Amino acid sequence: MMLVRDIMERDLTSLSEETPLLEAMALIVTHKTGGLPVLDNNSRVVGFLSEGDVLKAAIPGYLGYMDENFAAPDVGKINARVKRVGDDPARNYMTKGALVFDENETVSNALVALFKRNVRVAPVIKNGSLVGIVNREEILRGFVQNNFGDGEES
Amino acid sequence: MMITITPNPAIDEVYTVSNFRPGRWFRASDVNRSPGGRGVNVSIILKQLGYDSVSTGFLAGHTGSYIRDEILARGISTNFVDVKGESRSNTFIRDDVGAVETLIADSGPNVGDDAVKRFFWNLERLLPRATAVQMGGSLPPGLPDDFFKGAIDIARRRNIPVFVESFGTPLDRAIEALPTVVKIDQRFMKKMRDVSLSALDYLIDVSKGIFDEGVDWIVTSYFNNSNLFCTTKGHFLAEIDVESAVTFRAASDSLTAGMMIARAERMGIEDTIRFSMACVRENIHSDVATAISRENVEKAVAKVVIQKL
Repeated sequence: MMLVRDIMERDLTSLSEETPLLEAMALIVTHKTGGLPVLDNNSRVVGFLSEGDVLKAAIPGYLGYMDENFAAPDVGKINARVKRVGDDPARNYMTKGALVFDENETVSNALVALFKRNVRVAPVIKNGSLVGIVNREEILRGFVQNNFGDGEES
Repeated sequence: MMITITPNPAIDEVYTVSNFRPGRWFRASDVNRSPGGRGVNVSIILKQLGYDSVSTGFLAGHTGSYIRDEILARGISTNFVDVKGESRSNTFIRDDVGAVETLIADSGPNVGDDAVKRFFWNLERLLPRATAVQMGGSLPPGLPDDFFKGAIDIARRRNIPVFVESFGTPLDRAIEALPTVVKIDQRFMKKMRDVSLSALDYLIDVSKGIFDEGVDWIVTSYFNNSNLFCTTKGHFLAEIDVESAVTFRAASDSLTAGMMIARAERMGIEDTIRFSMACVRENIHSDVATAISRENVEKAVAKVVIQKL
């Protein structure tokens, strides 16, 4: 049985609740990830800041704006908004009570939970501490490796 | 869980060139690329010997992404701070006929204050789960000379054993924070303390000086086949056979990994010396500098010769 710990990425990059939003954006971009876990002072996962959370912060009311007016917001206004909220702490925008997996969770259960919650990436914990992250791509890679060996086409 | 700190990781590119001579053109008969740097090597060796670690430090650019991916692919956890620029490449030219290695190293990316702050934030959060911390190697531009000292201070406040290997002012500052084990390459000992390469008595004197400051273990390389261990039970010279050695590239890192494991398994002083030297022996006789197995290390223990001085 394939477990989350068998396929998770063991990178522990994370944010504090106080990490400025702009710094958090840079970390998400640099790490090419869908988001990062947010830890409290005791290293416990207290939330998750996804790229969606960050974009929502940069474009407040974006979806509503599109639905009602069918017009894209001005880029200058988005940049101004990013500057304005850039120093805000991550805790203001993170998803609290975010999906978290124990490292011994089965991959199939994790996959179902990711789809049900409509999220792409989630932190993995062991005894309450962060030990990695899992995303849909890694799950897919795990299935490919199980069925095709190294998962690479010749 | 153990933590390794590599301030300046690298890609180690090893080109095998027969009869290498400067000033001529060669085509390599073999090329091997792997992540490197003191702590990274220690993490890889620890993993091969059955111990988990988190590899930390600073990474930059495409080289940095490659290093992180390669470490993760080996099942090792990572928690690096990303900085601008490009992590370094160490180019080794291995002459399989002349049996010599030439190294060309670059200096690495600039590390600013914000990155240092983030590094220490990460370290503080990892330490509650840590059983040992290892740090070493060169500092990239921008990192202050007291970088190791700062990390040792934090770890020692939590009574976590610290293993450090570096040189020059960063090592002098690190010693002030009283790490558990200090490893000094004899070539750097000569530069730091003006001690002759061949004078064992001088090496003992210098090691004893550092030991008296409050460091538990001082380990100094002595030629390429021995290490001098200065301990609470006296001085020991440990020797291994190196005649058929393939590479010395990660020899020192295998010694450190061996000492970390010996401490975790509560080995006595002489067993610690034998086990860590056996790690070195297996490492230098492997084609790949960081390939080693517990079974082979156990077999090699009997081949280590220890002399109490």
